[in-house]
Amino acid sequence: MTHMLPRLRVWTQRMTGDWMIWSGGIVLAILALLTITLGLNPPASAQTGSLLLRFQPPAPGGYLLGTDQLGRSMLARVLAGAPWSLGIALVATTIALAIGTPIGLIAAWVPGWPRRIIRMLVDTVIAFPSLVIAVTVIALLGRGFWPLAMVLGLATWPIAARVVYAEAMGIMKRDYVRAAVLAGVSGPLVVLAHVLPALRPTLMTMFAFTFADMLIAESALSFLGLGVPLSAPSWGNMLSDSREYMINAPWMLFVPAGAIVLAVVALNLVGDGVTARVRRSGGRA
Amino acid sequence: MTATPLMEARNLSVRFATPRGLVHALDDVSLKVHRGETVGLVGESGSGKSTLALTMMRAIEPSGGSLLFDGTDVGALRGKALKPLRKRLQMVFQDPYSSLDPRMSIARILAEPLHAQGWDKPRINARIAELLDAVGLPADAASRKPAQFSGGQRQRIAIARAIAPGPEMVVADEPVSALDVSIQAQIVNLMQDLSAQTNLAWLVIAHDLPLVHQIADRIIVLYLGRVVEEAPAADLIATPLHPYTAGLVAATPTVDNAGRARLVLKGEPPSPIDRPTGCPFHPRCPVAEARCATDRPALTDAGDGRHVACHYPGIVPPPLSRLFTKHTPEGEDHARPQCTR
Amino acid sequence: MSLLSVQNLRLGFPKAPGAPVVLDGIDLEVAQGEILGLVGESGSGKSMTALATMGLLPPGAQVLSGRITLDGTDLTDLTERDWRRIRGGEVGMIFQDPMTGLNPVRSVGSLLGESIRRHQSVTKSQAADIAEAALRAVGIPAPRARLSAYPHQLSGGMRQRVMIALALVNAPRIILADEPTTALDATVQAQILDLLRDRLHAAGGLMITHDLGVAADICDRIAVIYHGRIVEQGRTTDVLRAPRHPYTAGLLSAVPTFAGRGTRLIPIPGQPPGPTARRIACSFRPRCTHATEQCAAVPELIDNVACHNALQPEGAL
Repeated sequence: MTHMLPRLRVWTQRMTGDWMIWSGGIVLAILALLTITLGLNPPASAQTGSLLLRFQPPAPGGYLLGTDQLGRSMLARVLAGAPWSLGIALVATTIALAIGTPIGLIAAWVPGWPRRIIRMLVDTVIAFPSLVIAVTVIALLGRGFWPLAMVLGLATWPIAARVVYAEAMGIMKRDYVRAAVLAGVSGPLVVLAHVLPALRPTLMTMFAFTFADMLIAESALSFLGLGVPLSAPSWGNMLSDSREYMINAPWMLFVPAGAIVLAVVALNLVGDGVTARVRRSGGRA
Repeated sequence: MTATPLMEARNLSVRFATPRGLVHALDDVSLKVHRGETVGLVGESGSGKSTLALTMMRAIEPSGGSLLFDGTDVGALRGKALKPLRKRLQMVFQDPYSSLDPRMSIARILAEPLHAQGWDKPRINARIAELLDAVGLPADAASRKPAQFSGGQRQRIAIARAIAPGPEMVVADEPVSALDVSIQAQIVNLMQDLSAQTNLAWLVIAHDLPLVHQIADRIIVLYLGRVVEEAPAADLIATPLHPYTAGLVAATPTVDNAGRARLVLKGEPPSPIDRPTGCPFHPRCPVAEARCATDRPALTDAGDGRHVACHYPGIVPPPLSRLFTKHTPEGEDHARPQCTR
Repeated sequence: MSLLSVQNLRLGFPKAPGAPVVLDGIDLEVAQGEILGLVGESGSGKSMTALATMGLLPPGAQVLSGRITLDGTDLTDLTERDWRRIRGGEVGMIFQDPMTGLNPVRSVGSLLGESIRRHQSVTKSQAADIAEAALRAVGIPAPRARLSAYPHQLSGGMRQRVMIALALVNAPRIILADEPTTALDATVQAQILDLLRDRLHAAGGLMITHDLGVAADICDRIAVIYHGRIVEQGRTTDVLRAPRHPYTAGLLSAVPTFAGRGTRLIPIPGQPPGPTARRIACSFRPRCTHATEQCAAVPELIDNVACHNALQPEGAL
């Protein structure tokens, strides 16, 4: 039986990759569309509810996803929460990568003191429990979209830097990078023209996975009451709200949890899909 | 010949510190390459030949000794100061599949060294067309990417890139060993043609002795980071003075070599960390004496442009005497096999 | 009396895009006590032939027609269980890369011991003695001590000797060697070739190589393979001295030799066709300097050469 394993592996490799990118990508595209259209201009039922309609279970004719403890539409709220949760995660990811990538590249390219200092800095920041930092900063800056996004981004950039550093070190060993150096191309230009493009697959997968992590982190912080303002319908806040009423109105838990899971799974699919594709084509030429 | 050599290494040493100890990759290596000549550098694993190539290209900094290009000391130069050198000295790598950036078009690859030298666009475009022609590739290759070319074609592109800025010398590290036999000959011929047309000097590093013998004017043999013998190519093969060279010649099976004298060296090339005392070759040498274990032989002049580092040079009988003895009729039959219709 | 016989073997990947056919009718015979060299360049199908004779075809590969027989036993459609009985026992294998050919987490002694006990009914200590003798026979010093060594502790030449010992330890009827010396240094290669020359003659051997010099050194007969077909075969000295197929002649003119320094190498223009290229005419035609209109038909292997315009040996009528 074990002799069939190589066959199985080849089949799974060929099957994965592309369909993963497609399915994950379509879900993300739909989420993005909904966020931009309905999420930013949610119907009033996201904010105001009728107390007469509290705890309505999901019904095909009425409230599709039910109502919460204030009679607000779960569907409207989860859509209204999307710009918060997805938005914060997006900004945080962008900050993390925007800071982490150049720092990782510098550490890889410049040996000696710069590399040592950066590595020490990265190790130190990673060693700190990020939750503690988050709590402290939020306490100082107050709550809201931007403080939260910044905190998450600043807590995560060292991880991105580490990944970029490791990948870049490997890329720099390749002959074509050496050839560029020996042709007299200046350091920064070699990095821009050769190393950065070679990093593209890594950056793409890192973006997808970090986005997922940030989404979960925002949910966690909001759930603990340390994230976005309490009135904002972020998915983490919705989870927090559902705590008291879970037993009687389980949909209050499942709707935001489902949204989070959907987004995270879609992101992971895209990330894994890109990885599989890279592996299959030996480096995504 | 009193002309200034184009490239000269004097007592060059390169040492690396590794977790397992100090590695003497190169130890007191001296050699010269003159304008327009093709020098072959042969050695097995641990010989330091790749390290020597990279040191000459100044990708590695020498730990000791000096490196001169056209009379100027380049050993201590760094960064921007190396740019003028880059125009005159270039390199071709072994693996045609990793030496070209798969994301770039051929035109960009060829333009890169020229941009670095400050050429302007029209001049670069004209040069690209010239280069493709010089290496036997069609003009439309410029817009394509490396993946669309075979190994032999990619190596041509690598050579085109190397000669783009018009260097006086090119270091080729195993330029054909990753290619099929029938393609190797295409590249070898190209290298010889380029040398003849532009007075280009080649330093060809290889482990394949017949190949080096075919293309080189002079051959230098490295063993464990030291030069053990240096001679004009034909002389080195016909009458090797160093026992290692004799062993190498005898060890190489070629089609016309099948009846060669048996001289199979025992043992294997040692690791550069654990070097033997005295002559680095003595543990494997068939004619080593007591002296060889304690005294390290220096590279001495043996006349006729030959140098050898051995206490007892020329003792081992030449392995190919059957091939090169002019009075036996078999000697001529062993040239390339004739075929007629 | 042939030991290994390959008859009209056709092999391809029918489900892959383009349905490439890698072997298009291979006929080979290895006699008892003889070493046959299969010489070709990359893409010729030589490695696939070796893999087919060892039952190690990659997933997707399928024998389309033909047979492989070893001493009467049909190897073409064996199950994996049957192959496990044969490999290491009747068929000994030597691979190219000594670094990946040996399991790095097993000691030399345990690798040998496992193979010995699978194919011979002996006790553990008897197996250890046999293993020690096998290592000594391939020239490894202090063989008893070496049994407990791991592959990474040995040099490249030593590892290749261990692989040869593994191939020989159960007195196989035939030994298949796929580029056994390509990854080794020149001086080590000479030692291993000497060793192989002795050992492979004891039974019979099929040696895959791209190096004509290596083939000249130890093979009694050679078969030249191009684009999945045998284009020429015969006694090594005959084929190399007076090649009859233009491809063989082309290879010989393209390879540097010690005596040929003054003359320019004559490369074979163009590139070999890929496995998806269709075989309507002679595969070598685009690169052949002797092609005529007859070459529009695929040449059969007649009188040991597959060419419509076979070159005549010097002095022939």
